[in-house]
Amino acid sequence: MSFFSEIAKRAGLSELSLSGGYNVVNYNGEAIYVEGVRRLLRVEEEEIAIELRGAVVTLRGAGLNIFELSDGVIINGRVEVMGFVKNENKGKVNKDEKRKKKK
Amino acid sequence: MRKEKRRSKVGQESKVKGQWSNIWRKRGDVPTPNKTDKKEKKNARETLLKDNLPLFKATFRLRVTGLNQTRLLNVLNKEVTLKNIKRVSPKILEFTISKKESEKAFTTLQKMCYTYDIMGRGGVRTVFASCLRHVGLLIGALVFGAAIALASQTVWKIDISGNSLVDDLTITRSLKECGVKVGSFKNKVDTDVAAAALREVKGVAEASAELKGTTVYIRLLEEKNYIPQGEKGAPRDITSKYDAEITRMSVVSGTAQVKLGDRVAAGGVLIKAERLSSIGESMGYTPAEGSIYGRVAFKETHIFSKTEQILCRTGEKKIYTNLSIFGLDIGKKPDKSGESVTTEEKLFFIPIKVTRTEVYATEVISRERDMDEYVARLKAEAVLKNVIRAGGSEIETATTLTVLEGGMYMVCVYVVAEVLIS
Repeated sequence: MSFFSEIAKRAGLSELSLSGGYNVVNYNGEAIYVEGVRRLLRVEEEEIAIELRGAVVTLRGAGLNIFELSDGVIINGRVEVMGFVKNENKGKVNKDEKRKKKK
Repeated sequence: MRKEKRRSKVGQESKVKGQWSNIWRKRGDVPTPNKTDKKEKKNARETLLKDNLPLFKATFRLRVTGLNQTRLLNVLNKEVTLKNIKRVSPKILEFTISKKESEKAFTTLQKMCYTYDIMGRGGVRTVFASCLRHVGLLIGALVFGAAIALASQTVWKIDISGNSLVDDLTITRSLKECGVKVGSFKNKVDTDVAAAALREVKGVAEASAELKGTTVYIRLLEEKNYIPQGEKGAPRDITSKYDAEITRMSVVSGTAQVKLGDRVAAGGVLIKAERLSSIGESMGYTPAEGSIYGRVAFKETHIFSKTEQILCRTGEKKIYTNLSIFGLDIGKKPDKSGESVTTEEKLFFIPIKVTRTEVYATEVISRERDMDEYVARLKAEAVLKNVIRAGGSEIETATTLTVLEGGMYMVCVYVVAEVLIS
């Protein structure tokens, strides 16, 4: 079982609700690890915005730098503010709309 | 239109060059990087090191020029892993990719019509290239390593102990015959053979030899009644070095041939290596040991003129530096017309000698001698040469100055002191 799954289980979350979701880990404000990335929205030294599956996370600080960009994203620098804006239905709405259109 | 505008700059270049786009379509082909500053390349190399990638993992550091960097990153992210992304400016982006994924990255960049340069490379090739840049250092390190390895396999020192009557020269001579000497290889040193050879030496009752590290330790046990032999096979007596009047005596073994107050000539026997009875009969030989002091008179005569000629530096100086490798001298030979000061430096383990010679131009100047100062200097030199170096004490000095013909002078320096005469 992965680290995230273990924590999720202890928090009482089901595996189904987690699948297709995202995880964000903040290491003492010096590095951030993000899983479940859909795309980058903004990349600046003072601000990085990432669209996740079902949310948008915005990081503000100084010297922000994307250290690694692959399945997960590792950002280092001084992170002062981390904000989330949830978009629960974003992915699902698009699929539903497509089905309706087909019909 | 919009697409054309975006591609306009690139499109124009491709039209001018003609075959540019065709070249890009070839697999595995990497366009020639544009000239970039050395500083930028150095920064790129440093950034590659900070990527925390394994040293031998082949990587490229790319610099991409173009707008809409976020879109580019999102597209590239689907194909490759990007590391250490740095936004240099709104138009320039840098990142590192592995060599395995480089083809995919280049293809994507070409499709999206971005211009890119390879700023630096990581991996085995880079490591070797940086080594080749410091060939001299590499060679020096190899030579030093070889020298250390060689030095650790040779004998550097022979430590002899336990001998007081048998001298070290006899021991080392005997060891040389067995092939044990400073500089011989450790694997050729047979300690058993050396010990057996030492037991054959006169005066040695027992001997042992041990090789520890690069030192051969020799331990000796001398025969109880051994008497060191002098010339013609006779036991060695202690004789006087000077004409002296005996002032102090300390006889350890043997028979004293003089007493306090006696005057003895140079070469006269002071202690005989023989035991004599009260009536003068010989009772056997014994080593002569002891210390005898006597009052000795030294005399030195100097003849000189009133004027002296001395060499004075004019202020001009020339420096010569020479190298000597295996007997071959490189460099200009110094001019020996003036006063020269030479310093030599030898590099340890490497057969290179550096000689630096400073040659000061001089001229001869005549001046009148300060008589008092000169006489005092002669007196001090005489005391140092005859008494101080011999460990003498109770020094008395006297000088006489005689005027000779033709402006010449004669100084006689008399020094009387108690010195060790045995």
